[in-house]
Amino acid sequence: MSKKDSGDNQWRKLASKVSSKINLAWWLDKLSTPLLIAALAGACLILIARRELTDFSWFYPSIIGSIILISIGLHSWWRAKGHFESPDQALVRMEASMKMCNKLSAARQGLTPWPAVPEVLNDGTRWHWPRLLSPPVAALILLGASILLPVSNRSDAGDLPLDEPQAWKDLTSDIEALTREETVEQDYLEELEERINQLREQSPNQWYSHSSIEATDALREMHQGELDKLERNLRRAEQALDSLQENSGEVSDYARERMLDAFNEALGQLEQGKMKPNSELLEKLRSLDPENLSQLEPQQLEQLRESMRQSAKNCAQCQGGNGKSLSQDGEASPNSLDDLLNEGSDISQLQESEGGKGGIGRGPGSAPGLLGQVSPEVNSGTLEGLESGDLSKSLPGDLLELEDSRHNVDKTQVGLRAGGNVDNESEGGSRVWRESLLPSEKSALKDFFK
Amino acid sequence: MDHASETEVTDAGKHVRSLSNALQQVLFGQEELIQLVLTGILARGHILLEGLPGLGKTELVKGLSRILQLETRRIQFTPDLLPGDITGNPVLQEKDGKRQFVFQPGPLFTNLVLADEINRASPKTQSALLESMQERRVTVLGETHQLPSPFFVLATQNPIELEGTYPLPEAQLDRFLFKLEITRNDVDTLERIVTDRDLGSEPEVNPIMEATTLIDLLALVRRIYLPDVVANYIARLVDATHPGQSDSAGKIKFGASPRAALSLAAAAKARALMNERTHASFEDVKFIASSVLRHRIILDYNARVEGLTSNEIISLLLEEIPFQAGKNPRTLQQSAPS
Repeated sequence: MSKKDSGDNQWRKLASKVSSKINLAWWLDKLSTPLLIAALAGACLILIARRELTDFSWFYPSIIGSIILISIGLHSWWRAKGHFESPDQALVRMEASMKMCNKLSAARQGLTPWPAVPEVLNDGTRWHWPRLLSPPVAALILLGASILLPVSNRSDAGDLPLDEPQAWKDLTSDIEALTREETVEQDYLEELEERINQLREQSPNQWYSHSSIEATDALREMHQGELDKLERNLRRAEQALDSLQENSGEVSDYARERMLDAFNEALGQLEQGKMKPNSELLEKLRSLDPENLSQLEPQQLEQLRESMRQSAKNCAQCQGGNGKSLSQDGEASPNSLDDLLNEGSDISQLQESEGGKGGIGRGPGSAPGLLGQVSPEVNSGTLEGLESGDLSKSLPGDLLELEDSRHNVDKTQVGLRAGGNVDNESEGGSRVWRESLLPSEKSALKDFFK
Repeated sequence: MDHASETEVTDAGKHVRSLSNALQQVLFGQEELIQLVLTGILARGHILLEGLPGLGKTELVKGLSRILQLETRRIQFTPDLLPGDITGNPVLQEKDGKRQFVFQPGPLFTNLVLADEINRASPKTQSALLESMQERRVTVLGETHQLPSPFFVLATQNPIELEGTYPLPEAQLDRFLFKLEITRNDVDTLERIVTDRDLGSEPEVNPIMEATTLIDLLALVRRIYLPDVVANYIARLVDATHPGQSDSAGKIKFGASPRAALSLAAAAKARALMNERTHASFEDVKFIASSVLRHRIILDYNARVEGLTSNEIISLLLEEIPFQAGKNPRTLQQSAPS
């Protein structure tokens, strides 16, 4: 191979390399935007698929992604093709950047020999790395984020156990506590449990429906009312017994009669109530003769009262109970006799003040402005005293003060007088006439001077 | 057409170098100007020299005529100069008993015309040069007379003293290959002038080249190879001078003509010969671009207000238009040339 051919080949190889670099750069340039768009769309689709599809597999997405990637690559190549440079154009680029005075073009034409290949080749360009790497890195980040971001499948959310309403738990807890303590009759508890179970047997989607919540609220209110009633009747009966025991010889017949009536009434309500105390306690109360309490052993009576107090306490401690009738330690209040005599007057108030706990009876009442715009407070009818600071500018007939009060008379005691000197000088006199006239007096004066 | 060989251009280069050296004995410190003048001559172009009085414009032309042993005429352009005064007039003569008009050639009928202070002549007289400069012939009373070959017009004009002058029209300017601006001398050059020259005496210059040799050189320039890529660069450069064709042309009102492209190609070839190359190059075009284009583009009002000159616009154009036709992708950036 001759020297000329050797130089020719070397330059042409270099030109091929340069043209490949330029063409690759064009392809990457045209690829960047579609790649970013495809990555963005792909990331969205992956996220949606991971969210929506129950059996999401990476096999088909990988194949589809590869096909899309190849399509984008081919499309970009087709778009970049118009800008591709041939090795001859790359020769021109090299001779221009290396300031070779177009020796390569002349040599390619056969006019001059090929020049020696320089040690350092310069095609006048270098990679613009930020521009080159940004699109693929951004695409990778987008796809990586769509793959790695924790996204829960929509079907997984349906499999999660639905938490039952808190009211059911409270009622169940009450049933367990009352059963454990044997406070009330078992029939009531079984019936209550059956009703709760009926509510539980609904579809979980219906647990928080309006009808279910309404039924739950009604059940809870009924249970709460029964608990309150039982607790109150037990307490009344216990207090009546206590009063009868302690004050049997001291109170009048009328008062004694009232205490007996109260005990009998409480006992009657205990027997008639839906929620009855346990049968043993009820039997003891039935067999008790309140008029002959003195015949009973004090220990027996105390034991009976203690069991009534305990039952009332158990009722009050239930989730459904409010425990308001008991003191902190569960004992009856010291004024139990007065309470007994004045009972029935505060029960409705107690129930009315229980707002704000949610449920169907929640809320403090009508919303403000429900019946129209609320008129502002105008404070009409109030009288304010007016005082003139500079009386020299006032004219005859000016209203100096409008005051419905007493005269501002100095009530300082006049001191001892000696030799015409007065210790304390009164501030009445003309001041009263000029500054402290009542409106009626001013009117009378005006009429007089007309 | 066969292209010039390396031997031919090497021999030609020697002649051109001797010409250049001789001219440098006439005009001190103006090496680039001398290079451009010789480039213009070799490209068969007419040259407009613009500079203040006393910078050696006339001296350069006279020295060139003596070195080249060309027949030279000097025309001092004045406002009362008539076209017939430069082209020649028909004179009524009696011949063989008959009276007839006989054409009396004017000063244009020479090889090298020194048109001194060309902008002082009236437009009518200036336009009398149009045909002679472009087609190298003169038509008087319907009769066309061929000018001698080679024929060059080297005109001078003064950029100041515009009172009583007639600026050359664009058509006239376009016929000049180069418009060269003669700058003042530096201190060293001035010292050399003071030392070597006497006021009123012309420098002694020996003839270097015969006219036939010059004609051979002119023929050789035409055989210099102009690569396609260089021709493409010239075309893109001239096209970019037109408004809307490039960013730099935003303040140009009228761009350069196709004659400018031809002038660029011819001048690039001439410069390649002077550099003993068988082919023109991008660098040749870049070197002569300002001299070829500066009088061919007309700036708009905004450019004049901003104080932009043609030279500055052309510099911007040369920076904007790359040598190679294709542009770079955004994934590549321009590296520093080696």
